[in-house]
Amino acid sequence: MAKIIGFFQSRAVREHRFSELVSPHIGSLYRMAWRWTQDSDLAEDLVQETLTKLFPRVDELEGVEKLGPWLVRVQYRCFVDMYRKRSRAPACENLGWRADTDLLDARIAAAPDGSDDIHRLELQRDLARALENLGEDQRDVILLHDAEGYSAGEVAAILNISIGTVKSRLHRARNQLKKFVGDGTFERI
Amino acid sequence: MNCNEATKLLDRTGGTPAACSELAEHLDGCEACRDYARERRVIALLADMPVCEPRPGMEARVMQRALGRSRSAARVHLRWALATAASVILAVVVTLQFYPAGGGRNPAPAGALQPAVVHVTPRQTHMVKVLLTTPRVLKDAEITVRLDDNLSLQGYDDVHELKWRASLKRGTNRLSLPVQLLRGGSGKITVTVRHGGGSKHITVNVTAAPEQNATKISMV
Repeated sequence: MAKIIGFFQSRAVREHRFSELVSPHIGSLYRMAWRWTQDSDLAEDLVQETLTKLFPRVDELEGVEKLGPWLVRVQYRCFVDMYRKRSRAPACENLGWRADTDLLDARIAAAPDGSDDIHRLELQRDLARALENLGEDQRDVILLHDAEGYSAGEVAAILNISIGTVKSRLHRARNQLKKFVGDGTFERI
Repeated sequence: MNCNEATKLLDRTGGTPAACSELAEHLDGCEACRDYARERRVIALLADMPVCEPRPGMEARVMQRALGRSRSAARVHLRWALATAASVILAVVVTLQFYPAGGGRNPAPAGALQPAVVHVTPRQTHMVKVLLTTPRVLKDAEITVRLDDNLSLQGYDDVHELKWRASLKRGTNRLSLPVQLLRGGSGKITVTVRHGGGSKHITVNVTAAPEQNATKISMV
């Protein structure tokens, strides 16, 4: 009986430790998951799957210096394994990254006519659509670095590539996106 | 204003050329700085790009599920739960082509697409995913799912027809159905999408598979 009680106490302690470690990062994990999936349900599933995988590794988590980017790195692997690889399967050949612009559409509709907000939101909507034209590699880097603000070194660690590769992909991706930007406005290709 | 001053100002203003008339004047005559302004603008817009808020209680929910406290409830939702290694995914892909009325293109062909077949183990729940691919947004489409008596939808026992309205996004939309074949033999799932006077049906035949050959997939 003592062993059984000890087992449950041990699990409760591990759950508490795990919760304390990862809870501050769930919001940013969700944000990144949404940027990858463009779907709030899928994003939530991805975060859940990431945490499920990580729970048995709670001891390892305690030794991680910068936990935020490290968790995103694990989540990225989950995303690739469980979503992107599947989307490349013949059954899902049409499952490319598609910008979900519903949120921007709603904000544009709610903004006062002629306001600066509308212009900025419309630019962001066009930019979101422009992201569809990037390759996965470039989009990953742009979303991590420019949208979520991870440093080049952190992006390199998350994607398991060199910092030089991060910088060159950023450069190419921005050049691609700049084609959609005129002097103060966007021009569609 | 020289290029050095211009780039410093652009860094501060996120590439907005209207921030200062001197800057605007400099940009008029300097292609390199105009290009830099575009880049700063892209970066500023990306940094401020909104994220769709999660449903309330997301943090507690994912934590609970990750710790295995409410797995059964989590699987009832009609949505694509990312698969664990042990789960079974049966995917059926359907392409929906709805054209606007009077749009000068061929009208949407009504009627059923070629049926898909999935082989499952009876009395076990299998996630059948219907991927609805549409070349444009279908606002307020009506979706109907009908199941034969020999099939059950987890969480909707004794319900054999579900109907609701939803907007389908451009691209691929996923409909996940946790389905159980109640006895041997087979059963039929019919998914109907109605929009703008047109309709599309997809039929999925769910058939009992031999023990050693369960969960085989045949695609549309």
